[in-house]
Amino acid sequence: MTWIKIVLIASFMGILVVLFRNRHGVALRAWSRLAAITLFAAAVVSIADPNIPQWAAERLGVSRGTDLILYLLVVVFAITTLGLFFRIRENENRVRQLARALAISEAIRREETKTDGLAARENATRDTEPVTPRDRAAS
Amino acid sequence: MQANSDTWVVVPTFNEVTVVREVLHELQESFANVVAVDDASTDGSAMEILASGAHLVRHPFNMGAGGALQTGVHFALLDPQARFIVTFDADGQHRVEDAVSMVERLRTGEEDILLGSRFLGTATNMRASRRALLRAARVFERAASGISLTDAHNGLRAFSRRFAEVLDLSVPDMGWASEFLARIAESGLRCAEVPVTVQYTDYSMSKGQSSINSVNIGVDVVLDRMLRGQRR
Repeated sequence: MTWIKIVLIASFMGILVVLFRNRHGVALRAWSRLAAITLFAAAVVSIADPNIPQWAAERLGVSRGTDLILYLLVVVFAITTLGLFFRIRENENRVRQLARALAISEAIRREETKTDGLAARENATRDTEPVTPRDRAAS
Repeated sequence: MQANSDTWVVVPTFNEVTVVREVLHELQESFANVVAVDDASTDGSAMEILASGAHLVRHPFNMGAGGALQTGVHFALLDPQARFIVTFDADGQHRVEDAVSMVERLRTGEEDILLGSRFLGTATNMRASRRALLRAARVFERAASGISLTDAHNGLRAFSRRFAEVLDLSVPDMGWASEFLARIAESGLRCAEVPVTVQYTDYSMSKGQSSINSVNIGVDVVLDRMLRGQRR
């Protein structure tokens, strides 16, 4: 068991627990941004001088610098995906509630205009000449 | 038509143009209030519903069976006189007599929720594979909600206003049945299964869920359970 493995496994577990607990708060977004910035910095550093990530990797017990970057990438990807998943879920819920409210209010309005329309028609026939049975048969 | 004026029948409808009017007509003979929720059908089901004289609520986009059911329940609860709510499938697989007797039984006040079961009653023309899948679903439900049923996915259900007010289905698709059970368990209200007859016709069989979709349903249900517990 090398150091990096312990660190990685522990951080994965920690991240999962923290994310699930705070998925509505700002912490999730903040952490995913921090991780992304770290990854970005690491990428820049490794381009500028590949020996630096290599040196860091050796300290941590990883054989290659690129592997270290890859691990970081995985962490960033996991946090980002989870964050997006929670946000999409929340959004879907809102859209559903909105659509439901809309559908119901539309149904109520349709029924109101239907009964209003019937009442108006009845009033109209009452105002004009009375309908005789013969007229009704003719129509 | 004044019969059961304190009862609302909710009929979630998705592309049932050939049968829905007939089903609604039959229901209206025994129930004064019938609301069909058209889940964004593409085949003119909405016109058939309007023609039947039932209340129509039309989703702007497809929200799944659970979504349609919840909309119907919302709509029914707007009527302050509503005491009981029945859910009834639009494809003609249920019998109105069963719904009527379920409401009669609810009136005794013994239970708040009654669930139809085709295994206690009779199911005509059921395929063996469907039977096996439903049995597997039952084991799953039992593990997920702690409620043991003989038929986990029957669309014919009747419940009181008290339960309707706490029912808040959010799982898309057919996973609503599991969510429904979870809500029963949370509410602590009494529930029972009653035998009903399910008529499997060529039509209803062609409309059924494809069996592989049960994977999606299972995952949705598990995820929802995990996430719901910690909601603020």
